Amino acid sequence: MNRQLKELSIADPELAAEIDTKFVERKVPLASDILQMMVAETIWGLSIERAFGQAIAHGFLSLMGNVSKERISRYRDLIRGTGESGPTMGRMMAGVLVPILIRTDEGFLKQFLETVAVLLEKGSYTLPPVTDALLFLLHEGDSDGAIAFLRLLTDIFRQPLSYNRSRNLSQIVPKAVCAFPVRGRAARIREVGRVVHADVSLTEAFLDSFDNGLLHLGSEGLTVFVSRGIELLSENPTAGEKFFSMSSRQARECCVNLQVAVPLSQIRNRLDRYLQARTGLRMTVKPLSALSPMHRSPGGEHLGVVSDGKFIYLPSEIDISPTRAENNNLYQVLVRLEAAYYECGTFDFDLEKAMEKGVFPDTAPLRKVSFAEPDESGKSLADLERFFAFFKRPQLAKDLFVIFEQGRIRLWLDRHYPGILRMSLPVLRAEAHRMAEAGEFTKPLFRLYRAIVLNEGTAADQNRWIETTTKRFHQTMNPTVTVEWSAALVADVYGEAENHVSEKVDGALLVPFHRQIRADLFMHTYGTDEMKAVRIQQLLSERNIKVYRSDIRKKLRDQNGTLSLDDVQSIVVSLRDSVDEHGMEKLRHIHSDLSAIDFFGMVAESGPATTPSAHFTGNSFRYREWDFRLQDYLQDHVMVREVPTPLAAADFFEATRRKHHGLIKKIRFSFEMLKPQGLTILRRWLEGDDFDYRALIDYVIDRKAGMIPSERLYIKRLKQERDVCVLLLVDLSRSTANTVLGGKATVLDIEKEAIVLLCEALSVVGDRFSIAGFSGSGRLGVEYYLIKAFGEPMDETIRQRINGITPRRSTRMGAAVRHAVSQLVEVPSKVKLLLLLGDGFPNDTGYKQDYAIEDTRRALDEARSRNIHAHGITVNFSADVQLDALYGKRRHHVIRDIRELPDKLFRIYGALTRQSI
Amino acid sequence: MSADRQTDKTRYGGGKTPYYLETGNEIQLFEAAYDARLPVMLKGPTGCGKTRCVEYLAHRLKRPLITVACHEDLFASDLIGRFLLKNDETVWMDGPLTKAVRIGAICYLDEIVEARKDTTVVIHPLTDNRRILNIDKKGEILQAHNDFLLVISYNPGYQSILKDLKQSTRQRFVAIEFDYPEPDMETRIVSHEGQVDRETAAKLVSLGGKIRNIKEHGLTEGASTRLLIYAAQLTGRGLPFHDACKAAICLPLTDDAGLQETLADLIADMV
Repeated sequence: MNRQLKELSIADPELAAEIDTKFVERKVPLASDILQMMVAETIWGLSIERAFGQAIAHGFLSLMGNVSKERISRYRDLIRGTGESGPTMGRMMAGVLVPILIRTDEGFLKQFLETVAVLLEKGSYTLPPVTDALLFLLHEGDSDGAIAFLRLLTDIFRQPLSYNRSRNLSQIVPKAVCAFPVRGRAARIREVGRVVHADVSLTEAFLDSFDNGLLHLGSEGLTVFVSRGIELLSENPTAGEKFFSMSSRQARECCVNLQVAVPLSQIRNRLDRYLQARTGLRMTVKPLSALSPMHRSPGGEHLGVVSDGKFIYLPSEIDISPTRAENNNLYQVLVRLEAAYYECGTFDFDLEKAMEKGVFPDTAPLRKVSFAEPDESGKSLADLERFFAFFKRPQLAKDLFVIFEQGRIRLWLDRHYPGILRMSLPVLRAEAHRMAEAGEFTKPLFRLYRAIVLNEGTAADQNRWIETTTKRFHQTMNPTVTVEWSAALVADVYGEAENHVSEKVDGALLVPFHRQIRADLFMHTYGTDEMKAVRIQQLLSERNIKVYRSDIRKKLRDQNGTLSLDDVQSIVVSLRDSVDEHGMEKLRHIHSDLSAIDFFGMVAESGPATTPSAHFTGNSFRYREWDFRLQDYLQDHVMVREVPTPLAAADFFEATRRKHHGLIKKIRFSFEMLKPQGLTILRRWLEGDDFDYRALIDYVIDRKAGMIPSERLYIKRLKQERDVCVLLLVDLSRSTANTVLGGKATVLDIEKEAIVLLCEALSVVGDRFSIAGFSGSGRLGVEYYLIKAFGEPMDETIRQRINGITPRRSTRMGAAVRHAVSQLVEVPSKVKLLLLLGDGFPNDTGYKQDYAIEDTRRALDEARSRNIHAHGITVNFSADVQLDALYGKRRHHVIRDIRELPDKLFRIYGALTRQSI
Repeated sequence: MSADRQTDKTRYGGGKTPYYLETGNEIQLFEAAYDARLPVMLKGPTGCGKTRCVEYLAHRLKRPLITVACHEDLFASDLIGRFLLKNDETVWMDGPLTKAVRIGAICYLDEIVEARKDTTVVIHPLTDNRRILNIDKKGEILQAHNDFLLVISYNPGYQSILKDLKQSTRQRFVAIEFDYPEPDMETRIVSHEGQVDRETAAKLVSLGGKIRNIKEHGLTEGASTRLLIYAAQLTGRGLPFHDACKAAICLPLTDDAGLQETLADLIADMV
């Protein structure tokens, strides 16, 4: 140990030892004068308070080797200065000064000290939240934001403020500033500063407004907004106040008009609907931030697009263009282009198919490779990745493939969707132009990309290679060729490309919006399908039946990982040696051959068994469960327990009614129309079941009197009765606790609102109804919460019960349906309806996937056979063919956006029970 | 609506053969059913060709066709007939069903679930081996003509549980299921009926397929072949593709603004 440290070890041996090890680890050359300074200061600090001394030592330690000697001396002076006024303050400064001294300049330091001085005038309680926020900003590398923040604080705390107010402001201002996104943070803070200048009392309200839409304004938009507000404030202080707190209509309109940035949440539904319509796949969009960091493309975190077969990941906000419409357009373009990969079968690339079709020239370096085995690491690679791996420079092969494949898609789009091309090419070209100016211009791959994908003329291009490659592309490609041809072209031009594209100078190809082809992500999503496909292919190949793996994969993907005999038959290519005479014979046996294979067993997965039941007192019921593998019932397999629903204050009920009072009026009106009048006789009809004798007498009299008699001589008898009862069964699984996009409410909260509105409708029309929830875990623990029984009047208790339901555990739907049915059969109504409100598929321990679906469907079929109409409503979920299997094709609704549920639930009920009157 | 007006769709065997493209084995099935005089039920979504199929087959079998579009106010008397006042006496007037039973026509009750429930009971004795029609007001029991056949159509997409066919009615019919044709077939149909070239027809069919993809999003039914033909007819008359699709497909399908937006997006992609 160093001599000076030995001195320190007398005061604090542990600290000295710690510092010594750090020195050894970091191998920092020790300047003895600095070390001396450090030891002296630390001992001074320790003499005041131990923690203070330690903070000083750590501060010095971080600074050493990172900043100049002068700055370290400055640190000492500042610590001395603040330490005099107390150890707490000193400790805080010892911490916060370190990053300031390392990352910022003298001007910043000056501003910081000034701000601290101002804050201290109000009291040292204002400091901790501020320094925490400052550390956060510096850690994010946002020194612009940090200095703007300091200035803002100086402006605010210079004003006369009450204790409570300054305490409050010292909390919320740092919090709000940290919540701003890094981009444009400084500008936003400056605008807050302008508002503070105008009237400091508006600060809180203005900061709150960022959550109500101001955050989506670009910096220019925000400046305009604030200027407008200040103007208004000078004319009419109250109006200005309302403006800044976004409570006036004018403010909201102004904000919407100025909005340039388009958040994904705003456009998500539209994109999802579009995707489903166009591709017919169950694909939806998600923000890029939802993609795990290991899968993100480098550089594309903020403005890029990738997809993995199930989701298309897009930026959570786009604000690169000066207008809202253009930003909106960019989302549309990215989704449209990404969807084209799936329509054009980019990810269905099959190496084996490609080779057998002979699309590769003989010279290609890929002749002797076997395809069946996964690579050495055991991880299965996508065919595309394996294809790239054959080349000496895989990255170059990949880049060429991206160019040719996107070029192929351009040709395809030109034929099938000219509208998409018209929309997207200008956007891509503009971005490519920007990139070219930023330095990509000289790179040959980038120029090839522009020539082939963006179809920008190559006439001006001096590079012969680009010219000939483009020509070759146009000779090979047309809108009908498959992805394998893009690969063939890669193999074809690779040799020359190696000479023209330098690995070191040019690097990897950068394309607009990072539109790469991510076969790895696709593989990640459908890895299990790939494994199944490999097994099935091997099994079939043993029987001399040839199928392509990509065909199996596609079938599996389209059918949620299941495969039937018919599917396999539809994709069988040929028998290996069908050329000989036995070929035909074998073809005939193909069916029996195939049927010997248990495809279902291969692709099915099994779940674990049961869970024990807990101690319980109350009504419990045993029900059977359908095991589709046995094709038989398991008698008394599940236990349903009726659990009392906890009560919760029912103000929510009234609040919902207030919130939707307009809708309730509409409901009352439309359900009044559904309400029957009993038997009615309609008189004086032109046609009907019988003569209306009163009209007949008039007819005779009129004729006698020589007048033209009326022809309305008939009556109609209409018998009207409505005898409907309904049981609403609500799934209370854990997932209903998820919050709804763009709000704080949970799925269940909104379901409750919908229930309140439905109750309103049902009480108008007079149908008997019951409400129940279900959840539980394990086959002996299905919980059934009876919220309203059929006989019970709709009173305060019921309202409290509705409010009291909370998300629980799993969903063993079959058992709950059977219990609900047992209640419904007791009701003497003519028409009985069981409405199931859920947010996904049934799922419980030992109750998964096909097993769960088959049992639930069985339970619903049992209900139907007992003359109970069962109808499912699935919320917060994308439409899925499996839902058709579960509820029956026309016996369910999907409401993707849960927020629409309150408006739709009663409408669905109305439609279901509508009758001719 | 008077009984006379409902029968003005009556068609006899002559005239031009209606265009119909067989998409499955429906013609063979129907002819066999007719041969055995078994009543037929056509199931399928709106605008997929049920009515056209009946017209075509009536022509092929050389039988007159009497079509009744059922509606909520359709009474038994509307089908059977009623007394009318003529001068000083009441005169019996046959309804469309009675007429068909007498002359041996094919009687087609379109959208049968729309009719009042009591009317369906009238057809029960007609649709089993008795083949009789009971005209209670006249006290007449009419034995059906040997060539008479009853055909009903219904759309299972109607979701009202109160408007389903009773089992006792269902189980009197041979059922033929219809769906929108496969893209190739549909393209041929749209191209022929809409009198447009194959390429435009293919575009419309592809659009129709996409709209059917989002049925769950609030459309009770996807775009029918009929709507696609309408759109084709409009484009054939010089209307731009976009406008024709909007007028013939988007606007009739839904009032939901979000869905309209998606439909507009899909059309914009194609032109």
